[in-house]
Amino acid sequence: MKDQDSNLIDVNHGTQLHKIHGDQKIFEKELENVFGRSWLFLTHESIIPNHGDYIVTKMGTDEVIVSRQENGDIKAFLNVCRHRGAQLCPNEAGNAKGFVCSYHGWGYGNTGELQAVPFDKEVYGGLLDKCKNSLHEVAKVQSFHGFIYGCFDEDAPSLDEYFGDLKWYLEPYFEHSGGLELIGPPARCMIKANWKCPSENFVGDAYHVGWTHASALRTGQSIFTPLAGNSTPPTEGLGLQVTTKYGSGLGVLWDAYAGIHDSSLIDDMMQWACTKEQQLAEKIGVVRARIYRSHLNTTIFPNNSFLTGSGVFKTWQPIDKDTTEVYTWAMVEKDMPEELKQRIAISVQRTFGVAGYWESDDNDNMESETHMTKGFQTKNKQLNAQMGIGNDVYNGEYPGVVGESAIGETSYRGYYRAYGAIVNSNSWHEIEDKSSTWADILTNAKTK
Amino acid sequence: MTDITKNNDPLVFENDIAFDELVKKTNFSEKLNNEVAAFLYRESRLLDARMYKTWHSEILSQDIRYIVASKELRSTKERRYNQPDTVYLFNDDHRQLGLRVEHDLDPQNWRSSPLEIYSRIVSNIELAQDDNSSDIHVRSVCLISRGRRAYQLDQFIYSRNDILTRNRDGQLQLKSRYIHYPERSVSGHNMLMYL
Repeated sequence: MKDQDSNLIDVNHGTQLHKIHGDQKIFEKELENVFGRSWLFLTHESIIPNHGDYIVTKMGTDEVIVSRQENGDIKAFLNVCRHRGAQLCPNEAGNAKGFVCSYHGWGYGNTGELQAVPFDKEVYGGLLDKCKNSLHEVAKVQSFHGFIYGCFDEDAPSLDEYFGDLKWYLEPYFEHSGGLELIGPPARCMIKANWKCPSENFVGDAYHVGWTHASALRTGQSIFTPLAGNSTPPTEGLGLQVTTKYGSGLGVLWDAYAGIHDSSLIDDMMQWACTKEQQLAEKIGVVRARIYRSHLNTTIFPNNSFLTGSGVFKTWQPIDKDTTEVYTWAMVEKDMPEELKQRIAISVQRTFGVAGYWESDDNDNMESETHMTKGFQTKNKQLNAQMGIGNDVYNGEYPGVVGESAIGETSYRGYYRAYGAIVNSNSWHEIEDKSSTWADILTNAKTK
Repeated sequence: MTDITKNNDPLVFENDIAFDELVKKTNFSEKLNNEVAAFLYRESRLLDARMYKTWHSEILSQDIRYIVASKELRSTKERRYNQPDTVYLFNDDHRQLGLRVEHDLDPQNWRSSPLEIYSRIVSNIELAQDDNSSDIHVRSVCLISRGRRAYQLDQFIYSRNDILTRNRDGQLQLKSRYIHYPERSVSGHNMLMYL
């Protein structure tokens, strides 16, 4: 079945048109239908622990203030004064009882309510209804084990449903480990790539690691170093690929917790993980405890990616069709010694930060994928995500639609099936209609 | 020795006040000024020429601390929010910088071909020295232009706070580099270079 409204995504055959990475009309549709309906990462609760703590971040191209309320709840508002539309808060983070616009001085509480208007009686004659001029509030804000996401669409499924089958894989690390925290502030940089290029890479591309990162693998001496230059062929049983109903997906590399960290961290990290794995085995079973000690490359649809173990946590914020702002945090386990957390944080930025020697390997590919869409002939050609097609299973040993090998493109196909459904739908009702047989569509896909 | 990494004025970047006090009370010879400038120009030329191994072995001291910090934007009046405000884009020692050099020169480092062309400018060089130490504090303002592929020309402008020391042969070496990078969201694709 080709997508009903366009042939951008051919779900049955695992292909996409190249112009998804560089077309203005598609980008505008994404802002409305993808970023307007999906759950988007905002912050971690450890970053705004106290009443009045706030951060400013992006949801699509919109700036939002995310604020801890007096009762402990978290709310999010557009960072825009209701009067003439100036930016309300120029800071990235802080603690404030409220926010005052620098243009005319309208003042809002951190609840979003308009509380003060200069010369209210004299210039408005008491006719300004403050209740109707509160900050625009984000419809839904929910937490996945401390990771706060927001959604503009009231009709969206709960965050719990949205994570769906992925929870089984993520809970060992996110929950049963004792919980996680992000070490901020994030590093930020602009790359000239469409936001989906890195998102699709993190959702399911173990294939590129040995080749794209050949030089980084060799010099860093991580546990992945034997892959450098594709010198080691992939063997069976190294891992899994998983995709889910709403496009989020991941890849599992068994027993590879220390991930991208170089030789100075491997022993300490593997020892940490092995000890905790033994504790978790009694609680959640041997298989899920092993998942905790494995390495998961993940994208939460549409633009939030992370590497468990490696501790790399990203959002890929769309700026325009060929520009993306990259935010990078370090992700660590709460009960790790402080010294280990700091070493991981430094290593995360050294490898996947603005000056990260793994990150820049990827960026060249992301930027060229985007740049080539400027070719008139090129943009209407198909991209191929067919690796492993026909072998994906549902209701097997593991949750989700699963490709039972470390290297394949199962998660790409699931990501783009959901993308095709969401970008071409005008409501969650429509998305659900198009997604009712999502697993059958993916498992029945085949090459032409 | 004066700790020039701390001051409590939120409107002034770290060490500006302490550095200015040191500058006022030190009196340098023209010879030393010229020696320091020549050292920094040579470093720039080695890096422009991709002579990274020479840079690593001759310019850097074994105990080098090489830091590029990016600071979260906070209100100057902020008092209650106590989460860290700094992320380190570089936080490297001699070994880690050596790994970066290996990565740069690896034949399978795809981004290095075709070659990137660098032009570095070092300006506003000022020296300061504490009476009790032979280390030399050096501030400079730098611009790097990086041309790569057909369409990319990126510029990076920043101030450096260096500490220079002398090795056993009396040659100057870089012992510490601290850069507070001024562009919070770095626009030039990446910062995979030496600042």
